[in-house]
Amino acid sequence: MICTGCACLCEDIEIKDGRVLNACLRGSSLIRNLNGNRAKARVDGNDSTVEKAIKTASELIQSAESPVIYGLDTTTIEAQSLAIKMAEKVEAYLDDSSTYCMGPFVEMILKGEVPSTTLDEVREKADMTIYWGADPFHSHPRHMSRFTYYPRGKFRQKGWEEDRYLAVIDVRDSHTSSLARKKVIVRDDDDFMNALITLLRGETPSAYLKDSAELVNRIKKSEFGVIIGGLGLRYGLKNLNLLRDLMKELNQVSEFYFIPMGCHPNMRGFNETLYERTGEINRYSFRDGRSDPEYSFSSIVKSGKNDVVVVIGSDPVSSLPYDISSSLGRSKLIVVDPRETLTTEIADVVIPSSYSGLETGGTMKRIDGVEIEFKPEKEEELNDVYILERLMEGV
Amino acid sequence: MVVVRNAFQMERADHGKRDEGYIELSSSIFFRKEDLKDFDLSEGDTVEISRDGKAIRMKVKTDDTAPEGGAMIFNSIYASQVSTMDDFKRFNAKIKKVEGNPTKLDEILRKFEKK
Ligand code: SF4
Repeated sequence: MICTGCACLCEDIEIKDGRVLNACLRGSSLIRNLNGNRAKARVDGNDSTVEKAIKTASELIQSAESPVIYGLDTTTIEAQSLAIKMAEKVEAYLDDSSTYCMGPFVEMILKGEVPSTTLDEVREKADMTIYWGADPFHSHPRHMSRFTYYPRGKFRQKGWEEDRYLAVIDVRDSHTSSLARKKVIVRDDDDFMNALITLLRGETPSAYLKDSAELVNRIKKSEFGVIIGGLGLRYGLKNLNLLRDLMKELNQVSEFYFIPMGCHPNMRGFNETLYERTGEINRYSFRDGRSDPEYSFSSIVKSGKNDVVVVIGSDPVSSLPYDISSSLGRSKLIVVDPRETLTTEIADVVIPSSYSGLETGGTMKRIDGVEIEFKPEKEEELNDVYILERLMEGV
Repeated sequence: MVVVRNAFQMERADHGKRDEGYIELSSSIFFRKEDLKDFDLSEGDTVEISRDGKAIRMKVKTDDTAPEGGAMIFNSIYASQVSTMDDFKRFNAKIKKVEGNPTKLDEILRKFEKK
């Protein structure tokens, strides 16, 4: 079984005598609680049949003048492709959570602006891992044990004890930083990145001299390094050009890659699927045929340009700032989700689905872009692909 | 204030976002023990976190992974009441001790009711 608890997509999960083996706390909790808190079909707050919910949703989408489709990071590439087709057909705005998460980093990778690699390569070769604004201990609990720090790699047989060096850069102490050989607490990510670049260029930085010098000395001794950038870096780094410059300088003294720490199981799949179709990774308007910050889910919903919102496998009422989520009630809201969420609570139409990957097959892309195929033992018929096909029939 | 992910809170989310354990963790604000005195707070106090006319009440707890001189909250609808799109994960807010309990989830959700 493959876990979809986070974007690590761990492929070694087993269920024996009702016990979930190999998964972390998050993964085992997800799998053990699959049957609880399931979404029920509703229309206008009243219980409904799935058929009626799909029909109502389809009619709403059909008559919409300005629909928005959002979410899709927890579903399969097959469902994402259908959602893109539907967005094209009804000239919708289309966005996912990467706009507020790893989008800018993934875009740089897809456009070849920063070098990236796979986590399998990291496991076999990396002697230096830098988590920057990331706390995998909580967000991706098996990231370090499967890929970066604890495993014995083909070229790193002595593992973390001798062969691997772990550094953490963050605004605070974290459970991950407590395991690191080197931790740097930063107030300003741009300043620290600048300090590293300056030192790598052989000059003296004006801030963070001690910490940056220690880190750069270690970097110069490494053969294969990786920076894993999390949400802390995404929101802390104001000048993205610094990351391009840093990766360039690092590769003058060693071999260094960047991997974004996306959380949702198939955010990367959404970005790549949309990129293949349009050359853009998110916040796309099929009416205007281009991507723009003003087409992000938050901008559209806040501006009130939309009359129907379709949320698939996401809970924006919980995760997005109130300034944005409070505008969701201004238009018709359709939610497709396997479970009840705070967004299903305020939705006009709720269509229950199954858990992609766990109850229905398909493909997803791991955090590093590696494609993972899901073949669960039992296939639920009511899944995102089926629902999207039915919605498409109506439009 | 920093907004972070926490595995124990996310584990409770799998029981539903109305799960008591999930709500308790989501409505908690964490300080380093040594910082509490500077903020004139004690563990168990209720505080109001406010900025730009938005406010939420949370329960004070301690954790040694909170930022020095600041506070940490977990990603949830509680954090979303005071965050903005521009500074989603790190922002400045006012904190003051108040009477009563953390804001109830239904109190927050009432704001979403269609008029
Ligand atoms: S690390 Fe992520 S994918 Fe792996 S078991 Fe834990 S939650 Fe599941």
